[in-house]
Formats: sequence, structure tokens, C-alpha cells
Amino acid sequence: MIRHTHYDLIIIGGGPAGMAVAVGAADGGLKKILLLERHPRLGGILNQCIHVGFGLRYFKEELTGTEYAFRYKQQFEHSGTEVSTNSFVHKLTPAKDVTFVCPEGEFLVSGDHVVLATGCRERTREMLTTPGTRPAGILTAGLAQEMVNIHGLLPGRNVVIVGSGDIGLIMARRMTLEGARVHAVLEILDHLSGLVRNKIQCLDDFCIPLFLSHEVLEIMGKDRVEGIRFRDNATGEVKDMNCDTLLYSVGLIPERDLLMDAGIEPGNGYHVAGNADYVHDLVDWVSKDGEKLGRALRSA
Amino acid sequence: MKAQTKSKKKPDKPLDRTKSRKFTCLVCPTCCELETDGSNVNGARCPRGEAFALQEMVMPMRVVTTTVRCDTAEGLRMVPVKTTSAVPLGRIFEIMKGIKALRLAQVPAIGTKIHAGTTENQVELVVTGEVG
Repeated sequence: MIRHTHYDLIIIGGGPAGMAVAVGAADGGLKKILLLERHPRLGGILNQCIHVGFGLRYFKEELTGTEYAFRYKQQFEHSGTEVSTNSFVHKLTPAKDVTFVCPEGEFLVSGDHVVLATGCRERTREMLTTPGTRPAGILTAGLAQEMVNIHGLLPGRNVVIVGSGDIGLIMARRMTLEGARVHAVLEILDHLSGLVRNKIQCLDDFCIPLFLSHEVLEIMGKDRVEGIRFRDNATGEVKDMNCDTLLYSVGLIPERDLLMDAGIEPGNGYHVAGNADYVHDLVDWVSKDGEKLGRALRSA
Repeated sequence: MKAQTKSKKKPDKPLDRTKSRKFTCLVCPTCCELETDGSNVNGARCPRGEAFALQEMVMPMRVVTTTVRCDTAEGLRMVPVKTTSAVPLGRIFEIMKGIKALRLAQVPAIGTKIHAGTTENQVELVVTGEVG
């Protein structure tokens, strides 16, 4: 249950960006801070990032995403921020009234400042308008990551990854370790989208082929994915491949629907932090940017 | 970040090109391009990169990150873990087999050490996160 109806600062989203804004704002002197998180726990997408590669810039140590979340949460707890989890914000107004629902009911709070720290969303098959049927077995790489790492479910056994973004590369290795066969990573561009180190330790280490300049033309299958038709755009050659699962790793889009739905632009007390602002390369920069944004906020 | 961008690559050492190999360093996101003949290393911006190249030449080593199943009263929980040190790349599937056979009865705290595999093939894991 929330303690006040008005806050110096209301933060929407309890991932690394939201926590960083709270840390910075407390450091800068704000007292009444409320953080609203729709999931039962803080940490955001870090909770499903069990792989290493986080924290070298911020903590000067290589950590897993889950370790990074744990470390940062300890820092966050000193900020004195009031946290409401299982709290889903569904409406904002230009007067900075924030309406959210949680198990206790629906509440309205207002703030001098409201920060959107809502992260980003994965682009989907629908956004690429890949032709073909709509069978089961088509997921974004991040959703597959949640299924495997949080819920212990394997989304499929014969996998093709569309797009060479980092999450796709990480999931190629993860699915392989869990016993699935990853047949290929298809990238429409003539170069890798993700980091070279991820190609080496996620694809090369496990002999998973990366096909550049390759485009998915059609998805086949009635109830379940049965295969794909794809084209090598360098030669024009068209081929088919059998698979039961497609994981899309084709880019991330900042999530600002709450502002857009209300017709509000950032400014006049509204701010956007972390990947909701723009998609960052490293969570370390999200933490640093968020703290900087928080520190600059002044109570009205 | 600053220290790494400021520090310049050391001058190239003579390499025996007949047996030299090139690697991309996996130690940190700087991704130095390394070349080594097994005794000298070129291209490393830090000593960890030199060690990486020499090791990669003889036996690539990787930290394995995965999850361990935990059957709690509230249902299945996945516990994130990593190997406490890098393990040989060629042994990863055998190590995964040992980890997959594990069943925990309660959720361990972050930092808890867990042993997996058979006595001849033991691997030490550490819990890397809180389980919600």
C-alpha cells in the first residue's frame, strides 16, 4: 500500500534505469520517491540475463546480469525509495497524475517529476511482415530467454535464429546447451548486428553457422513451424530448411506508449530514462545515465 | 574505459608466423585482435589479453552459465549459476549433463557454492542471482 498521494518523483519501471534514477535523485536531495514496477520483483530484464558480460564499466568487474541486478539493488536500497511491485501504470495526464493498478486496487498518485523507465521492446515477426502461415513456434529471442532461464521451458528443438542481434546470439548458445539444435543464424545485412565476441563464444564455439545477406521469404507449417524458405541475397539462390522454432532477434524499440497514448511530450516534469530513451549498448551506461538524470531533478 | 582507451598497444614482438594464430580477445568488450605463436602475443592492450591468447592457443577455456532446477513448495524455480572458474570448451556438454541432473530442494542464496557432476568429473558452481 502506498504511503502518500503526492511525491517529489514517481518512477515507472524497476529495471536498471528506474533504480538508477532513484539512486541519483536521492543523492541530489529528493525525499519522497515512489517506484512502480509491474512485476513482483525489481531488476527488469537483468533477471533473465544469466550470462556474463555485465558490469565491467560500472562495477569494474565482469558479472552476470543477475549479479549486476543484485549488486545494484543493494545500492538502490540506500536511496530510501518507496517501492510498489505488481503495480501496472495504465494512465498518465499532463498534470502528472499517474494511475496504476495493483492487487490492492487502483490508485492515483501525482508527482513533481515523473520518469518513464519502461525499457524497450523487441521487434517481432509481425513488424518485419515475414510472409507465411502463423503457426506456434515463432518467438522473439528475449521471450525464449525468459522461458528457458526463468521458467525452465525449452521453446523448441530445431531452431533457426532470424537476425544476428546479441540476444539472438546469446540464445543460440543457451538453446544449444539445453539440448536444442540451432541450425543457423540468418542475417539480412551483410554484417553481424551483435558484438564480435558474442559471435565467437556463442556461434563459433558451438559450430553454429552464420549466414549473412540471407533473407527469410516464407514461414511454413500449419499448427507448428515446419520450416522456412530463405534466399541468399548475394547469389539469389532460394533454399528451404526444416525447423520447429524461429527466434527473432531483429532489433529493440524504446517503449514510450504511456506517454504517446496520453499525447504527452517529455518536458514539464516528464522525463525518459534508460532504454526507453534510446537503446543502450551496455547496462553500465544505463546506470550512469539514469543516476545523472536523477541527480539533476529538483523538487518543485 | 578511460584507462583502456588511453593505453596504447605495445609495439609488435617478432612472431613465428609459421605457427601463429589470430584470436579476438573475449576477456572484455574492447575485443582486442590478438596474434600469438604460443610464446609471444601481439595486439593485447592488457595482460589478461596476453594470458587469454596463450590459453586459447592450447586449450580454449570458457565460463559456463546456466540454471539449476529447484523444486520448491511453490513450484519449479530456476536458479542461475556459473562455473567458479573457466572450464575447457571441449568439456562443456559433459559438464552441462552433470548440471542438468541436479535437483535442489530449496532456493540457495546468491553466492552459494554447488557441486555438480561425478566425483571424477566434478565442477564447482556458484549461484549468481536471487530467485523470485
